[in-house]
Amino acid sequence: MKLDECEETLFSVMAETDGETPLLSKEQTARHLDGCGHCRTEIERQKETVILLQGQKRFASEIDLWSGIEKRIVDKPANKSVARRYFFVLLGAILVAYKLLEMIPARDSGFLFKLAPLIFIAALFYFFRENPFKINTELKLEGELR
Amino acid sequence: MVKVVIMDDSAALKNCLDGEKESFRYLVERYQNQAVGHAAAVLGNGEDARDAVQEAFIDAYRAIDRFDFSRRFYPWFYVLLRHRCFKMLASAGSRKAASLEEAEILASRTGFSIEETLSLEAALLALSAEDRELITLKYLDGFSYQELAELLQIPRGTVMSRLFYARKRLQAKLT
Repeated sequence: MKLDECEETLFSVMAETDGETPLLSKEQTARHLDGCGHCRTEIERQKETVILLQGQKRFASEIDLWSGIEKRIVDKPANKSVARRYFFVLLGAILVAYKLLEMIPARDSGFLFKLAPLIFIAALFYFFRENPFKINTELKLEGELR
Repeated sequence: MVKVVIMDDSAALKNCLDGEKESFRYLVERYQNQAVGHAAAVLGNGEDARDAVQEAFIDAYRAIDRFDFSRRFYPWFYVLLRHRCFKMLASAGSRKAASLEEAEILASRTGFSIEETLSLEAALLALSAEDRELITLKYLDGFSYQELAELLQIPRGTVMSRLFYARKRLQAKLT
C-alpha cells in the first residue's frame, strides 16, 4: 500500500503513542506537522480516544465451562497424523506397485490401466477436500507498509 | 503426602494427545475467562461469547494433533475462537445484546462515571466486529502490534493502518 505523507505521519505518530517504533524520524514528523493543521488536529483527537480507551478494563467473568466441554469430548482426540502417515505409506506402496506392473515388458494392460494414476490423483483431491482449480482470492497486499 | 503436578501448556497438550482428558481441563480453566472476554468483544454479547468459547475449546481438542509445539497455545486457540465467533455472526444466529450490560465488554472503573463507560460501550457496539476486536485487544489487553499480527494473522503494517481507522470510526461514534 502506498501511503501519502499525511497518512504516513499519522500512522507513525500513533504507532509511537502505542509504544511501537515509529515509521518516521522525529525531524520528518515535525517538518510535516509544522505545515499540516489537519494532521495536528487528527493526532489530538486520536490521542484523546487512546487515553479514554487505556483507562478501561475488560468485563471480568468468572465462569466454568469445563463441565459442558467434558461431556462433549471423547476420551482421546483422534490422532489424525498417525492415520495420515499410514495413508502416505500405503499410497507410496500402491504407486511403486503400479510402476512395477507398467515396467513388465510385452504387456498391454489397456487404456483404463493408463488412466489409473489420473483417477488416483482425482481421488486424492477429493480425500483432502481440495479443489485444484481454486484460485486463492484471499491473498492481499493491502497494508504492507514496510 | 500431596502430589504436586507442575503443568505447562505444552505438557498439557502432550498429555491430551496421550488420552489424558483431565489435562485439557487445565487449559480450559487457564484460558476460559480471557477467551470469553475476547469473544464478547467480537460478538457484543456475553451469552454468545460463552457458547463460542465452549465450541472453540471442543474444536481445539479435536485438532490437538495439528498443534505446532513450537507455538504458544493461546494464539493458536484464538484463531479457532475468532473463526467460531465470525461464523456465529455470519449465520445470524448470534443474539444482539438487549442492554449494554449484556454486552459484557467493559467493566466499570473508578475515575470514570457509569455513563462514560456505557457511552463508550455503546460506541464500541456500533463499530464492526473487526474494529471492536482490534481496539479491545490493543487497549484493554495491551497487545503489541506484532502480537496482534500473530493473533489476527495479518501483517504488522495492516495492524497499524486498521487500528488508525478503527480509532477514527470510534471517535465518530463517540461524538
